[in-house]
Amino acid sequence: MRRSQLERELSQLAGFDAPTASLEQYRTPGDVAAHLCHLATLYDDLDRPVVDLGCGTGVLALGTVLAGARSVLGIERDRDALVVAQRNERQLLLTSPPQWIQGDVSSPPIDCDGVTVVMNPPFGAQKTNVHADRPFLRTAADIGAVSYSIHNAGSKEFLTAFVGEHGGTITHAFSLAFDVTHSFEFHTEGRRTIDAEAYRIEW
Amino acid sequence: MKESLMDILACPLDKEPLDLSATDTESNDDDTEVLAGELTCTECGTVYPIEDGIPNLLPPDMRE
Repeated sequence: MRRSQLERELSQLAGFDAPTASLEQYRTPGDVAAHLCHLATLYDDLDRPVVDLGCGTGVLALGTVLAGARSVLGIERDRDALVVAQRNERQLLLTSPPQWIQGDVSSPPIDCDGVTVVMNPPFGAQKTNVHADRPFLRTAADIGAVSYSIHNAGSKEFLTAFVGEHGGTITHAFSLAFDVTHSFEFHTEGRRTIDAEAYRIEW
Repeated sequence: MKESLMDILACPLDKEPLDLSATDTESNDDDTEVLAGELTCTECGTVYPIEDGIPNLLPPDMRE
């Protein structure tokens, strides 16, 4: 599937019914997901089994299937989000849909390695939630041959150190900016632009 | 969840294999879809429910 078509399909998917602020839930934008999935096809990373850590409503997991992945697993601790992911999956009428499991990324209920990890973890942007992306990276290092991840702007120093400590290499790093709508009570405006960075890491 | 997913599922507490006990399934051409049932850790005995086709493999202290 072409990247522009992928972006259109993913942009139509549903987001969170009732986002939970502490989990930093927002729907991964279609263009961002399409960008990562497209890059993954260029490096044949979707030929491996794919695991989406903290898959939320399933945008990245579904993107990898549309981009050609045949074995995709989404792990998410919020059951309501998984129900939306299932609904999104049915809307797309896939021949090899992702499998959805409710689980915690810090103690993942899977025993595998050599997979391709995709993830848009919480950024740890709230004071109570600093470095919330760390357990996601740790699990990616454990099970991944390669990972694709989205972090907040200014993460490069932290990621370079973390990846180095875990024997990995950052092969791609690029900036992203996207608008998210939200309904968290402590935000006054309805939309916010997020400055983010995306990484491809070989573990 | 597909029955073939059992190949990689593990207990989140000790990473040991799980036993599947399905109470509602749907057969497809290539694989069996498990809609309801239980997964039990072969080592520690912790039971994880499967409802609406989604297994709940959160550690028990994280369940709502």
